Amino acid sequence: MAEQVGLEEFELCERCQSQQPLGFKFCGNCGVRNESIQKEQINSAFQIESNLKFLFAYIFIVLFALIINTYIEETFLTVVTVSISFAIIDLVFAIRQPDCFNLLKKQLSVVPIVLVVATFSVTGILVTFLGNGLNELLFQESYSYMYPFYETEFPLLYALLFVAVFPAIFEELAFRGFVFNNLEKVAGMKSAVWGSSFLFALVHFSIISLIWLVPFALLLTYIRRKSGSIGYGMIGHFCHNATVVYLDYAAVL
Amino acid sequence: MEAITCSNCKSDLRTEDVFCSECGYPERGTDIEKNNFERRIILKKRVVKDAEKKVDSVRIMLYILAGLNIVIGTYYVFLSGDEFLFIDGIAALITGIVFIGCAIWVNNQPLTGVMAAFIFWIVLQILAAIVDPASIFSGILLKIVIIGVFIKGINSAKDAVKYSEQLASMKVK
Ligand SMILES: [Zn+2]
Repeated sequence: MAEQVGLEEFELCERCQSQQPLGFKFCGNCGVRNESIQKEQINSAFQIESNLKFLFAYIFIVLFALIINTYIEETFLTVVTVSISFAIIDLVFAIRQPDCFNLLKKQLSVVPIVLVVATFSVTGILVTFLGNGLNELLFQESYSYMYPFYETEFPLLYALLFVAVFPAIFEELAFRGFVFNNLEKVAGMKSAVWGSSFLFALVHFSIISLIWLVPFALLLTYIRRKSGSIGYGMIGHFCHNATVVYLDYAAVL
Repeated sequence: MEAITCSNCKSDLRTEDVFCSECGYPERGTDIEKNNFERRIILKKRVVKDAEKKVDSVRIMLYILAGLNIVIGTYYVFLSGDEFLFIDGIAALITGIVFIGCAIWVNNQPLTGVMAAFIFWIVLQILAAIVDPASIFSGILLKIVIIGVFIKGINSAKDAVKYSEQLASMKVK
């Protein structure tokens, strides 16, 4: 009876060469697990392994660059160099997994943009006052994002470019883009939301800042998840940083 | 041979089969083959159990690290009355809370939880080393032990997933 069935519905067991139904799990004749099905499992395990390697490679390169950065004196030239270096790191990783660029394709609508701009301008104001208060407590002095830019012709313009525009584009592409995507494949949605936000906060290298950086990142991740786009996040991130820079600039005036 | 169902997974065996094609159980095999099947299951279960124990040891370590940070943080913030220690105390409290969060994470998602905790711990060491490079070598033995526990934990979390999947394919709960 079994001989009547077409040959293509059978495959041979790799160990005992007996005919087994296509896609069998275990060989009925010798009991060995089917290699080709196992290979599929190995492939999915291999995929997770490669996602993990990608994440670890990114995190370690960023941490290494951050360590070097702490030993570099802050001048306009070094700020430009460091900003461009981080942008190149993020771009190289993004190009290796280009599906994160799909998160930019979606058309943005006006109402959400207005909401995002308003919300993140407010967070910028809040963080400025919270941060200034803490800095004065911590160092008895206030830190300014503007210092490296006073030597230039247009301090505010350059500060906005390197403190607001660059981080907004590349940190969103990284943490709400490929970091989120890889974490989601490895561990699911929930771990991706918390993991990408936590990593984002960690690479700012300040334990105290975790207080506002984690909620800030969670908000950006939430927007990315709801909208399926990192465009809103880039706008919001820019507004937040731009507000901080502008308040810094205005305070010195 | 007459048609029978597998005594391990209850699926029907084809008449010419010795082994169940769904779970690999030697339904028409010898007693030795049946014993081997049972032994393979017991071995895999033991590996999963060992792996879970090692992941648990990471969790306990995280709770200890959290406890130490919270005790120090509480002392600095509320009891020392020193303005400079105040901010260190806040940082210690945050560190403690993050470690507790990681321990809960390890419970739900062993692999990513252990990795998140490991990365956080590394960043803490880097931050300490930036402030005081000599801090890398203080308590170096303890640090090596901690790194060992983390790496074992990551490998164990992977093993637990891998062998649980194999057991599931053998229809073992
Ligand atoms: Zn069976």
